[in-house]
Amino acid sequence: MKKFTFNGVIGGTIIALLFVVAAIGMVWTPFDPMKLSFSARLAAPNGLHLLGTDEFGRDVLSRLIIGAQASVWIGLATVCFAVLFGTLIGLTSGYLRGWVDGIIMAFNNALLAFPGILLALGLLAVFGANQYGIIFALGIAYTPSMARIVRGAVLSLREREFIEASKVMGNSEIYTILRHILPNCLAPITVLATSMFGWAILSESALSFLGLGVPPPAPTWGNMLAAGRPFIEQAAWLGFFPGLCIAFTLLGINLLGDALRDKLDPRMRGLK
Amino acid sequence: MLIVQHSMARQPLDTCHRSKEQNGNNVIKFILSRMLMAVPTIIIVAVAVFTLIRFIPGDPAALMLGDLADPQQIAALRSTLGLDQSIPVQFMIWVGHLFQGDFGKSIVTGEPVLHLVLSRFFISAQIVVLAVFIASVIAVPAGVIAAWKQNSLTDLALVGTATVLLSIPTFWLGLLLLLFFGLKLGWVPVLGYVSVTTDWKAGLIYMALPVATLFIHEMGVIIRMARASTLEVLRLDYITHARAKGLSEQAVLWRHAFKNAFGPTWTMIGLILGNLLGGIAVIETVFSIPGLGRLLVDSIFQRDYPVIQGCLLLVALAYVLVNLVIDLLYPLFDPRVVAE
Repeated sequence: MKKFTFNGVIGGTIIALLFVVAAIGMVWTPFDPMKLSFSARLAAPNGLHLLGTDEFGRDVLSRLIIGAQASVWIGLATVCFAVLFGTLIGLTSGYLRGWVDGIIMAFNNALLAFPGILLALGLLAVFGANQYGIIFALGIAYTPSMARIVRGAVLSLREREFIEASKVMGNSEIYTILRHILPNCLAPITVLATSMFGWAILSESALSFLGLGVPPPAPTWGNMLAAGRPFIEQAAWLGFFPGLCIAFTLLGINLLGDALRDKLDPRMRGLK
Repeated sequence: MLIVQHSMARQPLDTCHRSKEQNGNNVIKFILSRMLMAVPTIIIVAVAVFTLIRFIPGDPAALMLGDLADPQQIAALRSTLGLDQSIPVQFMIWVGHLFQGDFGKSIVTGEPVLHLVLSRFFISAQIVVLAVFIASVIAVPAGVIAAWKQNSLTDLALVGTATVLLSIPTFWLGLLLLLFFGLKLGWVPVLGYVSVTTDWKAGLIYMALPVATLFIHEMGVIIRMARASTLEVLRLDYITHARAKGLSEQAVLWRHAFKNAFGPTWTMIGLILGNLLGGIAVIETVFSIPGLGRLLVDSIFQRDYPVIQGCLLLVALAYVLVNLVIDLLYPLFDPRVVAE
């Protein structure tokens, strides 16, 4: 048990650091991340530009900091979308049961039969490749898993005595759902939302890497990595540092997710 | 037949009295029910792919033909697609065309979509299947050993490695491998692609790095899954019983624990296979492989809607079929699903 707490602290620290860096980027970066400087093109990491400069002479560290903002913002927005709609669908389906549940779940399971990234790619073809397109596409792709988890939790909760008691006391159904059922679903929602935050950051960088994400010149870790690819031999740092940022963030989320799962939801232990 | 014999050998006590015939019926029932369960999914997949193009603003026929089409061509395609009919009729016409193998033509190259998509699909499938196979062969035993030695240094090292591997994005790992083995050491070519069917030696060399990238990543996922499901099983009474009988640890682990623990991992491997087919575009971009993922992404850039439809449909179908096959083979590891 101790081991997991230790992992959780490391994971939590990495994620906290990500948020702090993103917040700092709002008020300060070492250089202007968009400023072109042709005299400083492809400079290796040095005392002035700690992580070097790119093919347009822009400071890589400053761009990584702004890229962290993009990751955090797209990750959070996607998770909020999936949590909001997934919870709403899961609550409705699990609480009403019957034919409503049957129809909703048939659709839900069919959506789950698509690989998430494929669904997102298909939706991006419709929404267009930009940050809002990504948020909608990933949000829609992740909503079915959230709906399924919430529905499962609601189905077992609604049979419990305290729910019965709340109804007997004359509370309205809406009140019972919001006051008694929803708070008891928070543990599985939190665990899944943490993993989703990681999936969203990874998918966003993969899509940006493919050129289907946030369009340049706005920096994201994925499009920086893609832009660094042609220069991999002469300027390896261009691809190396953005990838390292993504890997560290995912490691933090995985460690934190494992620790949360063990703490909040012992039933989900062993999944994934 | 294999399934029947296998399930007879490992039937739980309460079902031992069942005849071979009953078991055979159960197997057939099991296979049919699983196949039937895939049908609604396939229908909804088809509806979703069909609807997707209808969501894009504008005339589908004009979209399908691209910017250079003249009004006569558009009118001709409109009548072929039945665009003047109601939406359900349009859907049936579309499905009818699919059954005849007519997936439309690429706007960009004019090639028939089915041929294009299938030829690219095999390139991607080779890489994915090979990578998942190698990853499973290494990672499943590693996960079982980690569970067996729970909380030991071995376990810690294996789980730690797995968590790190799983956190490394494949496109970054691919670039690093390319930089090291391709550019620094010069062991593998950096650009281009040769199919194994034209020259198997060269083909294998070109496939080495993409396969390595994928299996290193997936190993992380499979080690953790195999460990978790083995841990669940090792807590059960029959393991204690097997140990109490005086069986060697090896026998307990591989003959008793492993067989029962493999089920969830097997399902997971199926999910990974399907997900990789959808997500392989990044790997194909890194290594410039002309696979299905790259085709899909290029078609999205070029707004080549017939090809987008074809790719989405094929990958989703492959995903459903892979999971169906995985489900159908499941009784080989756990005959209880048939008995139920």
